[in-house]
Amino acid sequence: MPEQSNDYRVAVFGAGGVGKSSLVLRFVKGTFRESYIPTVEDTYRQVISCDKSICTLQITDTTGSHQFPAMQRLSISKGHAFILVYSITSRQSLEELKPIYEQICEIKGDVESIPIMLVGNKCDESPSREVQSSEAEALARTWKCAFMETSAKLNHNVKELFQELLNLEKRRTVSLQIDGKKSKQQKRKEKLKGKCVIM
Amino acid sequence: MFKNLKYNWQDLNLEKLINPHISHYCFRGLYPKCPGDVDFHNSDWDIKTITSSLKFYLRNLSEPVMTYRLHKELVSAAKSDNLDYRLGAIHSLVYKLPEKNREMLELLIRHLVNVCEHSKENLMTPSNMGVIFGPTLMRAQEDTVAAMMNIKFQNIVVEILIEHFGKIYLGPPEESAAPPVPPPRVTARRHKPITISKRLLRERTVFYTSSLDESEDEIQHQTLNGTITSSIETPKPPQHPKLPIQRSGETDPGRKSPSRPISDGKLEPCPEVDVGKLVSRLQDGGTKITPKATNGPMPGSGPTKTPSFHIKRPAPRPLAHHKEGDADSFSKVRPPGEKPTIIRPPVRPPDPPCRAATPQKPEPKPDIVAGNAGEITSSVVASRTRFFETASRKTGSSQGRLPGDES
Repeated sequence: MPEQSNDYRVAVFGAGGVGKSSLVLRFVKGTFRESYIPTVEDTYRQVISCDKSICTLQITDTTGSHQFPAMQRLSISKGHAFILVYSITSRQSLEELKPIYEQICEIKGDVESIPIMLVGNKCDESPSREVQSSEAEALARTWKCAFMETSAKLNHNVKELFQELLNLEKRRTVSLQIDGKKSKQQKRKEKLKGKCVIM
Repeated sequence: MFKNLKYNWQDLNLEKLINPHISHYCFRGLYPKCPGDVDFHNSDWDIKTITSSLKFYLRNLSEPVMTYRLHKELVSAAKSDNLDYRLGAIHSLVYKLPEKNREMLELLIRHLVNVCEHSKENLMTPSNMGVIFGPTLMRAQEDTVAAMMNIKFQNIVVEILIEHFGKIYLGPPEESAAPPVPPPRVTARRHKPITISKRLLRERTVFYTSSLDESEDEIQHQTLNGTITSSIETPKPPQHPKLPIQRSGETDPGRKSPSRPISDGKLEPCPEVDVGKLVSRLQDGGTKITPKATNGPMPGSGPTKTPSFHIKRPAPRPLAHHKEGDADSFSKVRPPGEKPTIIRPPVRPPDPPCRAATPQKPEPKPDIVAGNAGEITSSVVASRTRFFETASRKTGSSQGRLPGDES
């Protein structure tokens, strides 16, 4: 199994049509599309820094439209961090997160050390808002997770969401910035240069 | 699934369909105060709740609407590349369903057809509908890797039901129209439910028979299919002009593979794996090249977004990979030929016995290796498949072979 310890896996869950794929695509590719294509499951990768070296951020975009329980369990058990997305225009989408959260608790046990973000997407559609941010905040408190409202369409809070999620990771230092690596490389280069000079 | 909400369910008999079950949904605790008899015209009822409850109900039936018994046949019918046969087979299989199931299916599909007629508004095209209702209406009895790989074909079945609803529910197929003898290749293929290796063969063929340019062209199609997801819908695949009805995204692998039946038939099982591996490398090499061109403009379009993350590897490439897998949905998971690539990427594949492979190797090779390096970690899905496959191997490879058994 190519189980690489330097992979950092983030799974995105939520009801169908809330914008999971849109969020992920906005983050990964910076694009947004109005069309709708139900996801079965996609994974995207990004290089990020982790404990002063680089590692791969794997973002798994899951299906919201139907359940493949086995796949969902696998995504949870292999995931290091989770994004739970609902749409602020649909109360039901928030309700549908509860079983998912419970399953995360069940599989992961101690949830407090696991970065989880509750995300209210589509905040650009606030005229048809059904879920007040205060409610979601309250829910986030009981779930002991962080909360954020985003808009993949307007690119509001999307990068922040992923950065914040990584900030929640306390077991290692993960960051979207890869500066650490750079400086390391530079140092190495300098070292080499120095050697050359000596020779 | 908030998209398929904007339809007139009132004029359908959905009410009758759901009413007895809405309380079932309520028992999940979502709407605890649910009365037994629901007034669906009451605006208190969110249409999403109703549609969700319907899907939930259908999904939780002890046996799916399309039944376990016919599951395999339906899936293998969907795998055919012969559109007429596919439709004919599904048509007649529908009439093998138990009376009640067929009625239920008719009611539902009729409704879905109606919903799809408004796809401009609600974004629910028949193919999208297939993705949603495939797993809702069809399910393999056992949760095996093979079953996972067939998910796409379930979706195709539903898509066909929607597209051809009028014809299918006009009446049972005439005897003459009854499924012709299945094209031999279908039979052959059933033993290998995984189609990618063959799909790749196609590419190989392209390599041999035509110039590199052309093959690059082909690769680019794939990349496009994947990378720009919206294109999944648009490309009436240039490669398959003869198959006008299907969208490329879902059906490609299925269709591509059969189009190379002869080589398929010739190859021994083992070599095929190798060929798949090899060709997937080629493909990797190819995908690697083109996305740069294809996605080149991408960073420009979202300038601040991506650049900072990609130091080692430009995003476009991994993306292309994934999206390709995405476009093919499970086809990425599928190929046994693909697996080895992931296991020991830098190693040259034990040279495929297949004679044709050698000539063009030298050229793409460098890219290949690089492509593979990227591939190692690239696909959770792939690794996941391996996970499942190893598991399923233990329990019995017979399950993997199931699809072929009844041919």
